[in-house]
Amino acid sequence: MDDRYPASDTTISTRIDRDKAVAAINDLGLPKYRTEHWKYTNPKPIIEELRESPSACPVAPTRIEGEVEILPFDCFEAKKAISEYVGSIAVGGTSSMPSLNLLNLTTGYVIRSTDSKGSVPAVKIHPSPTHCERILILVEEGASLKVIESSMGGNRVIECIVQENARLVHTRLQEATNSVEYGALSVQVNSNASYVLDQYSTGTSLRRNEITVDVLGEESSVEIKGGWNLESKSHLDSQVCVNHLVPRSRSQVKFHGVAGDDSRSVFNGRLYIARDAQHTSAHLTNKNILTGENAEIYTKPELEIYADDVVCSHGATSGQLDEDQVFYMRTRGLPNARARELLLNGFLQEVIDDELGSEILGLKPLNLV
Amino acid sequence: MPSESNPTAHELAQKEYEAGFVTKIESDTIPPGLSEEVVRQISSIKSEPEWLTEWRVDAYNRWCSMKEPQWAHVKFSPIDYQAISYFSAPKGDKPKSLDEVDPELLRTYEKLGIPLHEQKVLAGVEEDPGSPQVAVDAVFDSVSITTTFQESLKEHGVVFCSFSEAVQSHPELVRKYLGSVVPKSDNFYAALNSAVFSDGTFVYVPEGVRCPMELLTYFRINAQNTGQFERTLIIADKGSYVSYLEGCTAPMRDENQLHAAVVELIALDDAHIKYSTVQNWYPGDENGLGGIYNFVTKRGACRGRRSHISWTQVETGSAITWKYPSVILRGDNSKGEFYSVALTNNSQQADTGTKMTHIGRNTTSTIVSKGISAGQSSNAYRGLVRMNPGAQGSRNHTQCDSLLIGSKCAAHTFPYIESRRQDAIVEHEATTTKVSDDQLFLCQQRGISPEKAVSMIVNGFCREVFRELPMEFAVEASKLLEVSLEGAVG
Amino acid sequence: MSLLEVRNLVVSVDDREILKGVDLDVDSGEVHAIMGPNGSGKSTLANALAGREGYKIESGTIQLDSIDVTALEPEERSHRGLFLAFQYPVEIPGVTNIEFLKTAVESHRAAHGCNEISAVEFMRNLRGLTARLELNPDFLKRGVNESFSGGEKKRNEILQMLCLNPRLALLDETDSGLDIDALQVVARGINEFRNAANAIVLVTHYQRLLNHIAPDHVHVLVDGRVAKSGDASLALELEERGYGWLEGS
Repeated sequence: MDDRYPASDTTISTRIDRDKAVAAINDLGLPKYRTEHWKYTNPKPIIEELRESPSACPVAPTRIEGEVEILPFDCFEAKKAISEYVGSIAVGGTSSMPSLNLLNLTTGYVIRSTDSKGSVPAVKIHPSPTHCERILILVEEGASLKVIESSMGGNRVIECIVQENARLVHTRLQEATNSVEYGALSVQVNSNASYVLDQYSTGTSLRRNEITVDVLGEESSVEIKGGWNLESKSHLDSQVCVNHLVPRSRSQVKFHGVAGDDSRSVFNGRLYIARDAQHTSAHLTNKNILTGENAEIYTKPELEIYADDVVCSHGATSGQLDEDQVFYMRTRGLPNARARELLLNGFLQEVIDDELGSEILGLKPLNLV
Repeated sequence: MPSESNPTAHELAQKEYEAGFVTKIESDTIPPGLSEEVVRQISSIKSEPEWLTEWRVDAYNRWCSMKEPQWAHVKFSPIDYQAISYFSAPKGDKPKSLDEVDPELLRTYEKLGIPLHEQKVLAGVEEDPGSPQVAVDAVFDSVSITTTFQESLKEHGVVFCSFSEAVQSHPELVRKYLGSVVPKSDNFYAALNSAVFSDGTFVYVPEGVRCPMELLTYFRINAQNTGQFERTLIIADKGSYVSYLEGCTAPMRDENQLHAAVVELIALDDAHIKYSTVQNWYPGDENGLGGIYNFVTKRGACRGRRSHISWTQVETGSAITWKYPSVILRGDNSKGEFYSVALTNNSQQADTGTKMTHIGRNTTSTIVSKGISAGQSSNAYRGLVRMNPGAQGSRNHTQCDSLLIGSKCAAHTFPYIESRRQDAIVEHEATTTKVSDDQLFLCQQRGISPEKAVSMIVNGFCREVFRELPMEFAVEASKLLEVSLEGAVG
Repeated sequence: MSLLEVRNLVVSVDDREILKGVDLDVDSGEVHAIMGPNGSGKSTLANALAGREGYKIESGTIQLDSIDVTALEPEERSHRGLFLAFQYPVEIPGVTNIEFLKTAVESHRAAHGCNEISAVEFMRNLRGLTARLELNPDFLKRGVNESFSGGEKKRNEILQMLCLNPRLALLDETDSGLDIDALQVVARGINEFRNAANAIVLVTHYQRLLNHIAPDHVHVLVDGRVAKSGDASLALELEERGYGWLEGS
């Protein structure tokens, strides 16, 4: 295994538990096309991309902005957090991809917040298209943090811990690019904490998102929403899994997607309610509109429920714009194309409450003048 | 509460599964084990033409290289396919009339309420000259005992007979359609069935004929260590209509028994097939000992334009149910429906659902699935709705509800949606609820016992599906739910 | 001997003591009103009398017709003639109203060793009752309380009461959520029900319903105890002065 995935010989690699990663890869094997988790996406380009990651590590400088610190993996202060958390949150479960990321790591840093007033402006995570990267986000007890993450290809794993009474607001902007992108996001949410994710994606030749949220504390909440607007031959695969492991927590997952041209949109949402997770409220929806003749939609909203006193629902739709609505608008004088554009806008706006989102998805703001 | 001082515990268990008795009858049984030899032996007992023998052998060879599917959400210890007997028939030649049928067998069906005399109607239905007649094909272990009303059906040109008879009397139809919907290597259990299927039912409804009565096949597994591998083939020619019912029971035994059936339906232009199942195989005892493994492949092909296939199933029995009655919507404007109630209690496991494959233009499908889990059982809906690129203007609507009774059971939903057609519309909704304490208390306050209240609430939850069943089956289904839920409230 | 005799009833919910020793005697032919501020234990009393799970009787007794029912199941109390009209009737999707009522009536008859009622007789009776409550006959074919308006739910409670013809009817905030027309229909139903052999206990926060149904006795519940009992004039006094003067007494 080590021969095929040579260690990137940098200082950060010495701080990573490589044996654990190798063991996980040996145990789970490499992802295979057409297996359940890779039914509609071939993992081969993602695995191949890893071999081309540069071995050099352009180290981001240590920064401290008020009560938020950003620590590169190779700096001394990061050592404790790395040994404590890195590789233990994104364990992969059924996927060895996060372990592959660990083994091929070229860059990484810790973002840690103790900001209890929420006064620190959003921390920006910049695209790192050619790297194999790992980020650990720690929001300490009672603190809050805003993160705006941009990506344009590459291989990135983010591990988040939201401690008791803490709040993490995470915006992901996945911009158009020609390269292959793999992004795994694993979050642990503790008591009374909340995690909010807004994710907006555009097309790329291949983009795979794996989002796993473990709800570990009572009275906590998870809110995940987002949209995608795919064009040409782009391929987006989003796997979202929320695991409710304790009683009395809430989650809401809502994604709207548009698949145009020859694009392929894959969504797999899963709500898991453990035996002990009584009084959970969990809802999942995925709505899709196909605008391309050759576009394809694959969606699977799953429920796996082991507790009886819960309120759970899911829904999924796939279709086109409502012709009655288009007709109605046209009778009011709107040109056909404008009517459709407006309706698509409206469909995506339902999951966007952020200008950045509209921008990424290429939505034209309404001209009110 | 079970205790040693309670001698009626066993009687109670008996009461819970009323069909659990054993018929003492002599059988010709091929000894346990599976080989090409056994496959040829089955074919030869049934004096089958050579093409069918070779078809079976081919299926057997393919099966040898196949693996059991692992994806279903069920757990069971490995099946020893060499420990199963693949053929068992009551001794003697097939009786020519009811008078020749072993009286012990007749009593079996009498006890089960299945009429083998043409003047009798299904148990539970009042004998009223106006009530619709039901023709019955009774399959006992591996063979068909008798088929009623064959003469009067023949007047309408309807063929309703055992599969073995059809092989002799309508070889051209059997050869044309057998394996045309479920290919022999479709999946592990279908391949096994293709190799060793023993009997089953054959129906052909000619062009323009509306079958004048309901057709019922009643499957009974009796022999020990025997698998049941029946094959059903129903062909509805242009503009015809048939309503087919299927019922099944088995004795209570401590070993698991395998039931791996294949059902193929073919609907040509404007034909309508309505297929209803009330599945009450022995579910095993409350500790999960014994029960039937129900691994069944059921698929219908809407080949013709405006053809219509509708599956309605009420699944209360079996230790494990693995079953996805599906429709391939090839003909333009064709229609597929799936209405399902699956109830699991104690240690039962069900992984059931449907596949709707939209190929033709303006095809529509409706899925209504109601899953009820009680005890320590596990109940999963698994469904696939696929819109192919040619499925212009096609639609699907899926409603998938789960009801949980008690805190040890589990309910899962795995719906796959695949759309490659922009003007096709797919809608899926799912909810999970429980029988709430408030509902129970309201019923109790009005004087209704908790057991009665739960069964009433569950029946209400299933109403949409029961409405699709023929009347006499709906009554049966509703009673079955009540019995199956026994002990679920505590 | 009283129809209902409650002695020193102490009830806790989630380990919190809500009723702290309630005594109540209701005779046949009487109408009692239980009033009191929010959180005084009115609904707890109604639920405890009906035997709802979670309402733990710590001490005291409930006797109905001289029989101790304190340990009986809710349906057994129902069979003995105790009826509770709920403040928030729950929905039971898919179970039609008619099916529900028939099952309830059959359960009562079975408990008293009576034969099944004929479907014709049952329906005749039911149609008469729905007409009296100004309910659309379609109402019977809908699921129990399923997408009923607030008024329909309350009228449905009264319909069930008339159908089961209890000895003792406990009406928990039956007036809440009713407009004036619906209130009159409901009040008429209750007044027609009233006779010398049965009794009614109205649990209410306001005087409003009492304008339509005159109570013989009024009890004020404050902090889990009957703080004051009187005749109908007590209700009017409460309407004027509020509950404040009784609190802390």
